[in-house]
Amino acid sequence: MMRARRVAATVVAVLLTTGVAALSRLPVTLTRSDEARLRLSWRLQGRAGEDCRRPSPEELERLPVHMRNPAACIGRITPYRLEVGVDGRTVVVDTLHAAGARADRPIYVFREIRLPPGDHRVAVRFRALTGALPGAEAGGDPPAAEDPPTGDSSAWAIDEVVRLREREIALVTYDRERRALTVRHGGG
Amino acid sequence: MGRITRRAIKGLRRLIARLDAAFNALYGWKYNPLYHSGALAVAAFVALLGTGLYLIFFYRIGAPYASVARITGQAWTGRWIRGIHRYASDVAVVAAAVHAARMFVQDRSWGPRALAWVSGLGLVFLFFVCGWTGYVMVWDVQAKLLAEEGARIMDALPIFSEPIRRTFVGEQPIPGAFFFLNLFAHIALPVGVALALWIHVSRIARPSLLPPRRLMWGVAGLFLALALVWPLSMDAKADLFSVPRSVSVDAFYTFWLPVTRAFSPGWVWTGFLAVSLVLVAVPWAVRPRAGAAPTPYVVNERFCTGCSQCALDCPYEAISMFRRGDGREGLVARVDPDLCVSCGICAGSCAPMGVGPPRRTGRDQLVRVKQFVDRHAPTGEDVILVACTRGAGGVGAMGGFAGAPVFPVSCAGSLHTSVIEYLVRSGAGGVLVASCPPRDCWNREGVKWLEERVYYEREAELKERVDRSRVRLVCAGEAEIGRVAAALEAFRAEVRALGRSAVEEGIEIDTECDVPDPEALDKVMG
Repeated sequence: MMRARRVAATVVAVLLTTGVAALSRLPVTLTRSDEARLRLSWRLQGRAGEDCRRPSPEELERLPVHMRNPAACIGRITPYRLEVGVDGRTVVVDTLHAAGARADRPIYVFREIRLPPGDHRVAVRFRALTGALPGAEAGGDPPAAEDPPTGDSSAWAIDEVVRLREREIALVTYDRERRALTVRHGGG
Repeated sequence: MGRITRRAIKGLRRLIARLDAAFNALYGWKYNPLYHSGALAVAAFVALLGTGLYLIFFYRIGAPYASVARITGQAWTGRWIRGIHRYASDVAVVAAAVHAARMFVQDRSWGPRALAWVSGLGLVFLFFVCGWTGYVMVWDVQAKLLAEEGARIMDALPIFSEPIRRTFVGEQPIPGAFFFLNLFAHIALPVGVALALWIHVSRIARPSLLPPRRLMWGVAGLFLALALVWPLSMDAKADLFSVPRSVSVDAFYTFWLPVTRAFSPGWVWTGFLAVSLVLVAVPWAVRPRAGAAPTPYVVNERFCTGCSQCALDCPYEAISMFRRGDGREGLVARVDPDLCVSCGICAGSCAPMGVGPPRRTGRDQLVRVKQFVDRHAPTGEDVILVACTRGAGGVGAMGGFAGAPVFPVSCAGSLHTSVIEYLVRSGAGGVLVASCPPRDCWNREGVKWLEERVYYEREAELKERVDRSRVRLVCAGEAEIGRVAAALEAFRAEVRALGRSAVEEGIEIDTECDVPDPEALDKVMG
């Protein structure tokens, strides 16, 4: 009886221990798909600007004399438009605003697009929206970027064939040396 | 709480009681790991510290994966130590979960115990975060997913100057500062764990921080053997440019990883906060309704001799000794109602029976036992069962059990020995006290003190004149009614062999106690 109890106690202890060890290395399938990803990620300081307008004489009349400025301006970082096309199909159209509570931080781009493995024609266009507020006049500082854009709009656009292997992530980012958007693969 | 919730809790309590009974049958209550769940978690923490201190010397921030792979490749001086480190972290979580479940279903999480509950949750949280950083240190596939998912969730908070997620997109190599910060957190968090542990046990006297050696080394030996026989392997190195098809997750630490990936950070935060809120609110949700909560104990200063035994025995350090203010020499005990869980241990420790709330002091117990004797008129061969109402097979809730009259007590530790004396001297053939197993006492030390009072002359001791052969203690869990029945049967046979006991009339109970000398009193006063 005592021996049987000891054997049972040992078996239970071993089973519990093995159970804990097995659960600590549980294989979990995350995806059964071979889909690859096109990842877009870069950071841009953004173009600082002001939206100005001329208040009407009635509006100026309502203000104290010392506050009657002929131009009322609001500082802002210019929003940017991101457009991504894959194989001639537009997959992303988005307006990106500067980060931060006051929208005065850089603009961060991060998108992931699932694509089947193979060759894909990828067209990315990222441009400042220069349109100002109604009745406003564009003004302010020149663009100040992490790596200052060249001013050449082609630096913020690519249009090329990207080859994606199974479950590969290709990164579209801003290359500081080339001063242009570029596609990076795992190999380098 | 609704009726369904109460039923669910009751069902869970029964399940745990049955598991307790099964483990008691296998290992005995002394080495039942379920009873030592809290202490096992602490022992695992100590093992983590020891193995972690060793492993840290071989970890390289500049080459995290390679250094861990090197450790894992060293069969004699690395692999098994890493295995123990990993398994100890898992044991800590399992043990903590069992401990928390026990405290919850056994109704030991509210009132003065709320601090232990909330700090326990803090401990588990710190363990999780520490485990998270530990897994990231390896920088394998799971580590990358943990880092990415953590960054995704954290980026939802508007507190970072730029998204953390950018660190892991592949624009640049992962900066060494990331691994340094991660390592720093992994080392610093155990300091927080130690602090939280100190808070966790701060309201209890004599906390059992480590399990019995046999159990502790047994568990350690099993996991050591496992680490040698089934060594830890390494997943593939983290690759920022590939989508992993599968990953090895630790069901105790990273179980949430496959789940949270399916939800937006907002939902993840909502779920996390909701679960946290529910867990933190447990002490308030399960507390008895106003008026139903047991009254904290009070001291009748007229009877208190200042012996300080109640202060020594109190498992919650709720009783302090003060200089008397009534013109008499010496000390007087006072109960802090904010710390008192109304366990009743002090009622059993007070020889002059001067402590306790109405109806539960030693004097009240004596009144009750006199009525009990009048009602049952025990013969010289009858065994009276004195049983704890919370455990001991549930016989404490019965009027009689297997032909034996039952005298219920709220805790074996609150039983005043004069009750046993009265029963024996009034002619009962024997008194069988059925208590919960020591490590599962609702009041922590009830049965321990009772045993010392009955057999080792601890105040308030069972007087010498009481024949010990007519007194027995049995420890049985809530689901161990068979153990009580067997002990009763065996004790009945012994009592029959002893013959009839003498019946006394006009029993006088001695309420004297030894008052320590003034020097000892000063020590108690601190």
